[in-house]
Amino acid sequence: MNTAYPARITQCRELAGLSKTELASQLNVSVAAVSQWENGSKNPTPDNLVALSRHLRVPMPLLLTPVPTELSSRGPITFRARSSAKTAMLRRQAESLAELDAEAFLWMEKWVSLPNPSLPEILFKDPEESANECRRFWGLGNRPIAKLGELFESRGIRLCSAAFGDVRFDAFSCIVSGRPFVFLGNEKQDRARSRFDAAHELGHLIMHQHFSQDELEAKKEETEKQANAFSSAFLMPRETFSCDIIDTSLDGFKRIKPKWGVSIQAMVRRAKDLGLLSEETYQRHCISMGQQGWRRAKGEPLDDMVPTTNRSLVRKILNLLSNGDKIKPWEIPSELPLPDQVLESVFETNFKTLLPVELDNVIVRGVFSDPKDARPGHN
Amino acid sequence: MKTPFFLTAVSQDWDEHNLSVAQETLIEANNATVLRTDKIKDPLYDTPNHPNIRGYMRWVMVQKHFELAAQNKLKGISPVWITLGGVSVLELHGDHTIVTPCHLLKENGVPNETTYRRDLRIQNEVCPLLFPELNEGSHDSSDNRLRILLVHGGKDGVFAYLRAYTDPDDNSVYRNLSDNLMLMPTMLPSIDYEPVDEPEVGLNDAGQQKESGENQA
Repeated sequence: MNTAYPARITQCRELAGLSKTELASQLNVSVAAVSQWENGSKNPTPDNLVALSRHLRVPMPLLLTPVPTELSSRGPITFRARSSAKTAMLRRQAESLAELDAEAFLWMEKWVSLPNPSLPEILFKDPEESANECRRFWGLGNRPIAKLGELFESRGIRLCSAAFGDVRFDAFSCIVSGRPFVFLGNEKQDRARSRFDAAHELGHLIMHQHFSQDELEAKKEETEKQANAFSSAFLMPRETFSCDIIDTSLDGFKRIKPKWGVSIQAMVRRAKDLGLLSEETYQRHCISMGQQGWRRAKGEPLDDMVPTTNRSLVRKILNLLSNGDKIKPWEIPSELPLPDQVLESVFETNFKTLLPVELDNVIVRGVFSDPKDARPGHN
Repeated sequence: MKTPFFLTAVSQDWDEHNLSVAQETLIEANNATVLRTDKIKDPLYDTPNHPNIRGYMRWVMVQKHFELAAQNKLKGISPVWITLGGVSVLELHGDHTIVTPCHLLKENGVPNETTYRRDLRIQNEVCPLLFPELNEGSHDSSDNRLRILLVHGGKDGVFAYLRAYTDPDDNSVYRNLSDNLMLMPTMLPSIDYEPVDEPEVGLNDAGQQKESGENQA
């Protein structure tokens, strides 16, 4: 008889954002039963397995597959959420998403060679120095970076989306088995912010990976400030950015926003930190930006002229697989039975749209959340 | 309302790309001027005549930067140096226009009078692009191009306009041919960014190994 792997049940429950009590209630079983499944002292019945798959919205084969041993080593997750109300649950959700996304990349590495991770080893330096060191290490000068996504991916950082279902993260990052991951959550809402978030997470990956998760939590305020300072310095190097601050009015900052690809608020702050704006002017600008609604959902002007944090790695992988004869992209969901939201996070694509027209009515999708959709042999 | 022909002609030489380059060039020239006349770095510049030195250096830097821009970035524009006695003036020659940079202290300031600028106004007065109805068939000059001043300046270089001055006897009469270039969003994605290669991926042979393994089984 097929048995579910306890670690998988925990992982999938946390990905769904459910507590044991909530899951037990949905499945109409006791909390003790869920605990026993998760600690391995008891196996769920076949009916329970079907119910787990349905309620957790994960493919049944995933529950029956062990977590790859290669993914056992994971660094601390640096995590930013819009709401701190459910921080602990959101962090566990983020951890599960990171593990499953890493599993997807691990699977891809069987088929394609990906860029090797290349992060500078920088410890105990201030953020400004670390950002400069990172630019040097990556062979960059001091000019603005338009293709931030491609830069990250070409240096071996796996970029994933962290927006799925009803859950939205700002961003988070971690290193899984030596592979650095950055998850971005708000690309569609605000390009400038997304770029800043990406560089913020890069700062965490470079400066804070020697911390344990507990240390990171204890120093959260300090490390967040450092990551912000890193992001600011990385995206707006002192030497070149200073030269562009000729007109210190908000119109002046607005004009250079598309070039630097950061928000006017971030540029104003950077200019103040570099001593190019007086405290008084900085305060005046902050009030003015607030009055114009730039700090609210309405957002800042000219965001559509900021370069996007494009991800090209997975698109290239899918193209490569399409042109090869080993596996076709539309076969991925059946080869890699991961939840839909994980596949979307990694591939940013709806696999159904990749299916050739002639096969559309023949092949049933391999990823299913309802048992009646299951393909023969998958359960 | 129908667009006047001279604006169409101007936009053919000075499209959005070229206007963006002009904006960037003015910013770079300003930066270069400030760097080269920094009286903190070089105390010998710390004299009551520092504004004059800076003004002269700006004139030199603006012309030099526009020459480089015309050679490398501006589309359809060539740099031409015109010698006028002891000095040379840079002209930017397009198909329909000839543009000369000119610094002004104020947005509505009047360019200093020179013979060169008066000649430009005389030529504009009979330019068929500006006044087609007055010059139909009567103007046989081989060069009918519109003479434009790229006026720029203000405190910290906050304005720049393309203007055609048209009255030989009054150097304050002009037509604005552009909005303030310095308020245009900077949009030159290819000019000043760090070059970044796309990530490299390639098929590996694991797939083959996997298949042969499966076949053996």
